[in-house]
Amino acid sequence: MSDQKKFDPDRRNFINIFLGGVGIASLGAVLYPLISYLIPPKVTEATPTTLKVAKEDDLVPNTAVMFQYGRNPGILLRTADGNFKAFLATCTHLGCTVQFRPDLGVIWCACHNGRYDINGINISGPPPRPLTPFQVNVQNGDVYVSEAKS
Amino acid sequence: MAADTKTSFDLKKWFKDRYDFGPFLDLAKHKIVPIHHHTIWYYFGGITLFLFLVQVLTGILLLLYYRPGADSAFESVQFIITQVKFGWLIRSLHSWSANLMVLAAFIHMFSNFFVQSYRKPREFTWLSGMLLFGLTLGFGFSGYLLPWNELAFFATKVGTDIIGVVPVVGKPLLIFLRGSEDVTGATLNRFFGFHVALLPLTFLGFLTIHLLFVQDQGMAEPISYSKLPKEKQRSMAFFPNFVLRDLIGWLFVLIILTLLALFFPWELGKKADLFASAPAGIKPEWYFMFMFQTLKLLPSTLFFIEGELLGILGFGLGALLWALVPFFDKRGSENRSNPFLRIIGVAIVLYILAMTVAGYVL
Amino acid sequence: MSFKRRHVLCLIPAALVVSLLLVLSPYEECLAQNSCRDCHKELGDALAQPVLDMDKGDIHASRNLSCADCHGGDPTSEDAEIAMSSKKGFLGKPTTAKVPEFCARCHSNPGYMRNYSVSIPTDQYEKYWGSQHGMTLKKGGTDVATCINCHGVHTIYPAKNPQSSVWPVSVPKTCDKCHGNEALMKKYGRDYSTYKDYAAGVHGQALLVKKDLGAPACNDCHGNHGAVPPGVDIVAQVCRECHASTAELFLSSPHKAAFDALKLPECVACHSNHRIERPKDQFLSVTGEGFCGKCHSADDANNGYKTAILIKAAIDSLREQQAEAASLIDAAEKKGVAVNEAKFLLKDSQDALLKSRDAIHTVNLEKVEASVKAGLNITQKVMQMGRQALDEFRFRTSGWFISTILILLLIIGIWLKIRQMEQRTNSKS
Repeated sequence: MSDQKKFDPDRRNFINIFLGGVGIASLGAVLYPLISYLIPPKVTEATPTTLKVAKEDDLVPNTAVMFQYGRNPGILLRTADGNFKAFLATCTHLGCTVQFRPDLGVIWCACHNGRYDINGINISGPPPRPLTPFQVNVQNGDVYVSEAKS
Repeated sequence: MAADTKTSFDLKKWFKDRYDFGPFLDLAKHKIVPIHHHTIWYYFGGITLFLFLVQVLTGILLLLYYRPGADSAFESVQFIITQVKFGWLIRSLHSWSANLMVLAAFIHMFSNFFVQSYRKPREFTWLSGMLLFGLTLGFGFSGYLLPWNELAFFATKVGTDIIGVVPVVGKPLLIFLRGSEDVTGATLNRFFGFHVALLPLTFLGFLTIHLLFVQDQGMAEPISYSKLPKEKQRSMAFFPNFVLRDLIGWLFVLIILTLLALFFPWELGKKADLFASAPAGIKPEWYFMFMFQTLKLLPSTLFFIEGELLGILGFGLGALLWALVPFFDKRGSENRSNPFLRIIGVAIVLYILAMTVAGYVL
Repeated sequence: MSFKRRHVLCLIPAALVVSLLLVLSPYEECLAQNSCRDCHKELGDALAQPVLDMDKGDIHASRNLSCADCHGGDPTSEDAEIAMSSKKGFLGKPTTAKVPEFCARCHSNPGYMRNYSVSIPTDQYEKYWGSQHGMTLKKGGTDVATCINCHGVHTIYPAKNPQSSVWPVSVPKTCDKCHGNEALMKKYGRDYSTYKDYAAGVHGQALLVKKDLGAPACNDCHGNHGAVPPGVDIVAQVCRECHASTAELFLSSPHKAAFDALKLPECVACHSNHRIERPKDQFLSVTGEGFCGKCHSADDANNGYKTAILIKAAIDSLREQQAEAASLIDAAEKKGVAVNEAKFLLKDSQDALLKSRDAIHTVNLEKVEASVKAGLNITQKVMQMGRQALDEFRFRTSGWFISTILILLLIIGIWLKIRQMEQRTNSKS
């Protein structure tokens, strides 16, 4: 740098403006992720223990609906007498997803013809264990499932 | 740096009328930083401090979503990295920054050892630094468990097991740390408490002492520098010259940190299973590796004592001697260099490096 | 001999209560005084073996049945001549031909068996005579299996006891005792490598290696007491016990009539019986190891050849798309982008592939294509999610580059500032 430029007030001003501009932009780059982080995500809880899975009136007796519980499929069924039952829909034999068979009145696994009764008890075929049950609560016409308390 | 000097003057006056920060500003103003070919090491203290600040910030952010407890910790960390916007970044930054902080602290500590910065009158700075280093390792150890994943679970199990070997106090200490006989959800809650309350409070206390000493006594001069004639002792002002350079260093570290966090995301792994058998190759964090490897290499009995116990006692004694080195280094306190300690220091560094490498290679 | 002395001492109180005991509880007394056990134990070797075997937890012994309850005789007598006299009803060791009858005295008597269990079946004896084993025995073949060859003799466990030789996992080995005997099987013109084949097949792997009790052992397809090989035309009925939907699809397909006409054994025609290979899409090929080409050729009048090629193409497309989706997700995950939702959906699409593979048993192109299409729809969604995840990573990277450039500019700015400042102070001094 040549000597005459050392005290150039323009240059000094330029550096200050440059610093200010870049400084604010960098601060923005740092603050953007931080503020985004603070905005509550769509799912507000890490492990929702209770899940609204259906409306009471949407489910006629002797039918079932599937729902997603965490990373597992669940099955909510309404028995012929109007009660609700919910289970983890993973077959205890090889892990296929089970379904409700209104014609047979059982929960059925297509993979190897395993059958469970409406209480989730394995009644025929290869399944070695009953299905894992959920606790079902009905409130204001909504059906909630939550992990069964052991 | 604002060009408008009028406002800044007014502001200063406004403050001065209410509280005089003068003495504090003078402290910064009068402090000088010696310039010599070891000046580079002065930056590592600042870098450690910067990484600590990153830890505080990202730590507080993680706390907004983290939930301690055996059946929610892992899930909540998973939630942070999948559902929360930039949660992956905050979590990865926290993990990487923790590791870099330990590394920076190592460098800071050894560089000060080699230039004998601890010598009179800076014994307390050294001692508080040692405590801060210990607390940093404590942060690392307790924080490692918090995501409650498999690797952390078993590493904690092995790590706390080692403490249990110490006679008399070992067992009670083990139970105190674990909160039960085994590593369980109780341990997780305890470690959480240590990590976010106990350790930060203690750390802040010692950090204040450490920084006040540094500011008050100024940067330690290497012995060779202090023996130069006054006119040959080059230096710069701490503020703003050194602080701005410090800032450049911090910004570089920030770039490296985000680079690591983005391209080498810290893996979460599998959830800890209390009943699973330990997966092969359980390793502690790299900064504990040299101790872990030493204990592994020790024979089961040595001089009629259990090898592991001997190793632990050895490390304990070593750490104590290391912390008390200002009081041993008589030559240092006379402002003379100590080749003997330098050799020991080099040997320790080589030992740590060799054992760490061995831990990963063997 | 110590037992004799003990008996002498016993005699005094025994004399007082023996009449009472006789009325109240006959076998309490038997146990108290069982000369069969005492003598046979003393005799050692082979003659003592039954006693030792009975003590290993045999079901009969544990229900307080004694030697005499099966073999007859008088255990109260110290004298071997009297104890084992035919006058006392002694039967001794039954011949092979007599074994079924020997066991059936109790086991086909519902009234008696009810004393021990209300649910225990009592039709085994009857079924046995209908089995290949029973029929051969009736014809005078004495080297066939009777009750004891499968259940053991003096150490018999209930079938639900994992120690039992008829516990599902143990059944194949138990059958193999005879069915793996080359000389014996050759005599009856039977295959003797069944066990090896079975163990290598999917069912054997599942039962013997994975210990999946739901997997079929020999008896689940052949029956046990009434064991016969299933006939050619009813194989699907046996397989449908577990493979219900597949059998349904097959039975409704044009293959059913065609296979019957050709006397092809349904499922077995393609999948074999004992060495059942894990199905591969390659099976659908009209060439090489493919099954379809075994019957169908290019000049088929009924389009079977063409249909086979098209069905295989449909299945292949779904599988390939799925692999692509999986690798997309994998790539995103390796880059640290969360893909949990996509993974969940990928599982759904894998289920859809499974269904499509099942649907090929209809040999109906439209039905297979409909099923494949459903799978492709899900797979497309997974792919879209995978692409979004990769976009997210691109967003992160570009964000990082922009921030890094800004910070680098800031560094340059600060550096310029330092230089400017220090040049000023230098020139001042």
